Amino acid sequence: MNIAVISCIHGNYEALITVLQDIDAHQVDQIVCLGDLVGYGPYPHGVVELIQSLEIPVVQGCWDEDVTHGLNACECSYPSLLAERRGRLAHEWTVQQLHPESLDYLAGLPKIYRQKNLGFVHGSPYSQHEYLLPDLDGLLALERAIAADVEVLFCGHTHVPYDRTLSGGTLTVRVNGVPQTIPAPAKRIINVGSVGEPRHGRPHATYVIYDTDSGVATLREVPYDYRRTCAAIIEQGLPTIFAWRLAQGLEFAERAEDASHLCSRGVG
Amino acid sequence: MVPPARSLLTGRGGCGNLIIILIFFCVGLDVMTVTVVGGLSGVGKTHWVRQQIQQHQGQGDPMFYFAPGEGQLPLDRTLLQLEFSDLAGFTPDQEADLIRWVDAQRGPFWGWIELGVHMDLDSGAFLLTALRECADCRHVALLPESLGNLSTPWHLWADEVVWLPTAVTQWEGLRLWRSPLSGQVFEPRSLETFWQELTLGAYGSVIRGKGLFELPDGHCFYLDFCASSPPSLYLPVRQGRWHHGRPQRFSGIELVGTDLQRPELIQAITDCCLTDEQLAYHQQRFPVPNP
Ligand SMILES: [Zn+2]
Ligand SMILES: [Zn+2]
Repeated sequence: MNIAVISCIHGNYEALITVLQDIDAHQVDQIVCLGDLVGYGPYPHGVVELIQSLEIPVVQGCWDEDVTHGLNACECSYPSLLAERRGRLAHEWTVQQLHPESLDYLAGLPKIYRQKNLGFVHGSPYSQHEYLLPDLDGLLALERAIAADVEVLFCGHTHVPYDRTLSGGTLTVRVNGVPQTIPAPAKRIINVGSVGEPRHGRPHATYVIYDTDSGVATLREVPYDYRRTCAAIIEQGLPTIFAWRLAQGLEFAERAEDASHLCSRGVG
Repeated sequence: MVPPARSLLTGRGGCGNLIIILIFFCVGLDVMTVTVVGGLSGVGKTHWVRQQIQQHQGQGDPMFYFAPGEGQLPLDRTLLQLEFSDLAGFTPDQEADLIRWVDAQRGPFWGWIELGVHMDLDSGAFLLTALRECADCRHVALLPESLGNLSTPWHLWADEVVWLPTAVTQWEGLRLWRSPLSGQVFEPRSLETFWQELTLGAYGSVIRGKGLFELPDGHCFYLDFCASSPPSLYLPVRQGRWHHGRPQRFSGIELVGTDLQRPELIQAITDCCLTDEQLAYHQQRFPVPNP
């Protein structure tokens, strides 16, 4: 069975429809969405409506949580003052644009979705705001996959795709001072990148098609007309730097410096 | 003004006199030298002046630096004066003071007048007429080797051209944008992001960018970008750390490029700067080190 895993659409309707067309052309049996339907982009309402109409499993992203629960009090969402001030602008604009039904929908999304041995989260099993960066300490990464109780953990949030296999072994933990050894089987973390706000060096949308029989994950990089989205960002009065960043597809300091930092809010 | 060759020779006699006269005659021709430096933006004018100052530093002769086009943004002068504490400096409205300073010299001295790319090459003419009465003045143009065969405004103007192996070639259609930032303190990661965006063209095509930026730990940093020779330089400026309140010393930014987006630049810079409360919080975190 082929599962298409998409994440971080960020109100980019143009990118989403192009990716859905690409999915259509690739014998996909199921689509799973890892959240961040809104934020930065000019069409939050349109994206929420379209995703809702697909009737697919969707987990809650950091932006989906923030627009429904108020901005994260923890600074981990905003690694810099500049990012925070721009983020606040986008946040307020997005909240204004969303209809009450859309807000309810986003608020009601689960934090994790499991299907057999596969787990789907936005950031990490602990928080939508935690970044599982490709160079995160192996043990910490393994611990995240174990926490999700799955063999393959799909995530997004960093907007940079990667496929990482963590070799297994044994973990020694102390329970009430008594050391206990537990076997830790090999795990895999697959970051599917971003449909609507890629930061992998090019402006193209990315997502992953996962073959559950062979275990092969294919990273799809889909060009779309990002100029239309850029024009819409400026038209809507959102910060023009969002348009510039989208056109670059470059990674910027929009992420926590300390990869192991956990948002105090966590996953409720 | 009395030329030093004569004043220093009084009271000497005999055979030694002739040798000393010859030596001082030769030296005397160029010991009071004022060099007017012009050339493309980013070609390395201030860097060249800095090297000249370094060469003459050991002789103990008085030296001055003057950039008539610095406006309210004495970036290069501030840096040079921080590095060379004896270097005299003058603001654009202190031309009369500069002439008086030159007039008051009784021995050899050196001076550099730097003309920014935005300056008319004749803009120092009036001052030079005054200075020529007591100093040897020459025009030096710093130009990229690749422009050797072309005719530029500097070719006719210069007494001497210094050819440099730099990739800078643009001088037409450029805009200058600058802003004093004194009192503003930048959040380091925001500054880093802003500078990255700036140098990648988020606010227009920048061919040259430089600035002095205050950081919350009290240090001041000099950032320098030249599109023809990336990456940017990040240099701590050797001056005391500022620990209490907003720094009461010069800082600022200067950009040269095309299609510079002023409102977006101002917004981004504003978004990088700490509020009073944020600054107070940071200054508590970086207390004054014990002596
Ligand atoms: Zn995202
Ligand atoms: Zn996210």
